[in-house]
Amino acid sequence: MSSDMFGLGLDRSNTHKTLLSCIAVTKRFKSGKGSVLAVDGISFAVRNGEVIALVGESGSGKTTLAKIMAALIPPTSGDVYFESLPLSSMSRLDLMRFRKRVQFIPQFPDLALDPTWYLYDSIAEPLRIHGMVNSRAQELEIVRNNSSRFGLSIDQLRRKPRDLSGGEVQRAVIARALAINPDLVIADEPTSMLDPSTQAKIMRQLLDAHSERGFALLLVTHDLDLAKAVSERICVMLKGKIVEEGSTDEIFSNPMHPYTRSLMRGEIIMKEDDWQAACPYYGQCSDRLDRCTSSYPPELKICKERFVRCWRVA
Amino acid sequence: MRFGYSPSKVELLGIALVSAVVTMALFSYLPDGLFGAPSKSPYSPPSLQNLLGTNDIGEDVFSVLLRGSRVSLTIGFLGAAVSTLIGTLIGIIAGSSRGILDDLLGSLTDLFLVVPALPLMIVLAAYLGPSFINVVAVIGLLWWPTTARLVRARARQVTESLFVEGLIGIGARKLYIIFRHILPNVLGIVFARFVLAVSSSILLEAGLSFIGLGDPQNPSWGTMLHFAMTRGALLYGAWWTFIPPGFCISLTSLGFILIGMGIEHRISSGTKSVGGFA
Repeated sequence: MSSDMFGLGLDRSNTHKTLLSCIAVTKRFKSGKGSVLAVDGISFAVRNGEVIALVGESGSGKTTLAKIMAALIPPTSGDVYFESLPLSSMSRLDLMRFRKRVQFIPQFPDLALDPTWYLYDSIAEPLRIHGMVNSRAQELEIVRNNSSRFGLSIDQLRRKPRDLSGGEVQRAVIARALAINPDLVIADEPTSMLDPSTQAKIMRQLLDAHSERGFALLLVTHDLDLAKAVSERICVMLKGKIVEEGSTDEIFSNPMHPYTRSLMRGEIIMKEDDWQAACPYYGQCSDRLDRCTSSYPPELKICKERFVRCWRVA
Repeated sequence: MRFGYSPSKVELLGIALVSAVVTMALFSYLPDGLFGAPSKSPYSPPSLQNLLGTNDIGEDVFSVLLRGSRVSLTIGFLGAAVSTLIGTLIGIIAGSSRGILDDLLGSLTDLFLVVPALPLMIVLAAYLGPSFINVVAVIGLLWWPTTARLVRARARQVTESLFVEGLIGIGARKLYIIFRHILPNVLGIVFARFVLAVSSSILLEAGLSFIGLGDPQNPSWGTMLHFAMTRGALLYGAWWTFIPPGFCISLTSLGFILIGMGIEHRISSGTKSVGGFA
């Protein structure tokens, strides 16, 4: 049910062109006692118009990676490339263009908008910043179109975030991200803070917008079912590394990494003491080998666009 | 500020006191002699002709008191405006920046905080000479550090909040974020500090005038106390020349403090998110 479903009437001629990629990106956070390696040498790419899911448990570094890719935090090493232009050496103008074309949707809706601003102004703000509207009337039309798509009424647009529910604010956050017609939307658990029925509705609306406008969607989620339902490709993250990557169909029909398998069974909770072995999953792995303690497996290419990091597969 | 908000009892009392003083100040614009003509005899006690008696040069104390309210309020508001403006500016810049600029402004604030304000104020006022502008400038220059600290803390909190990250994500520039987003979010604190600063300014002005460093052209309540002190009203027992201005100073400053405290309380207790009172 993956790729064809969202290709309705889209020009997919440039589908295979890489839009945003990161190469050997590492992020180390300083903490009280030392430092935490949140993202550990990750390389992967998002292509034009695709839906790709970044799956992992909390603490696997997926939010950090998403923020690095949205240029919200700088990587410790490695670089992110937007249409082969590295973020680290972008000029102010290039960065502005990047910000116009790549939008980030954060996880916590109730803190995502300025509490002193009316919803309408918050949604119109990116249009104003990028000078994309010439008149108030045009602005009103764009804001209204984008908000009504997500079920926000004009009356709700006249309110401030504290007078609205989390679901309503999250709709506004998504409407704002889509208002400037980005080429890539990075959504960090866009619905995880909402109740299940609202979750489904908002996700549906986001995907409808995707199939209509053809922007690429990088969905960061811990919800495998959601990833299965919406994405064309999946990257499974474990302790700052991508341990398995491939098309959704392949990953679900033939999960190769033991971690992916137990994720699918819904039985994983990573423990801290698993860090001693080279492979962080060693402690809970049913298929472990002796060499798993001594060295981390390299990225093994199974077939085109299918990678896994596990000695068992090697 | 949101309207449709009902003030607490404490705030209402403050508003009543402040309104009373503002009314006094407005009455002072009525023609001279309306409330009591100047008398030939100095220190004549309260009577029907002079409701609050006369002072050392035979002026009607009630009329002087009304004119004094105008001066005290004006200096109070101007001094508060200058100090709040400086404090807000420094606080916002420090709170929304990192590294050297924040450290420098922080040290500057600390430096001004530990300076013994009153002696310095006396020296400055004496050196600059007694004039309206100088009193305002001295108050403005010395009362900003606490405001700067509070605004800095709040601005820092807002700067690190998620929605500012979101703003960076949609391409907002730093100055734009500061003026369009951080400033509105610190306005609640700024407003509370302003009201409290009015109270402090009035007290400081009274203090400076009392020791003779006020503007003699525009006698304030502090100046009235000064003349009562130096011209023998105390010895003479002319209580009507110093009790009324003393009362006015205390009640006015109390009024502003009550309002300011009410607002501060509102900010600290009534917030759902980082929005606060705005």
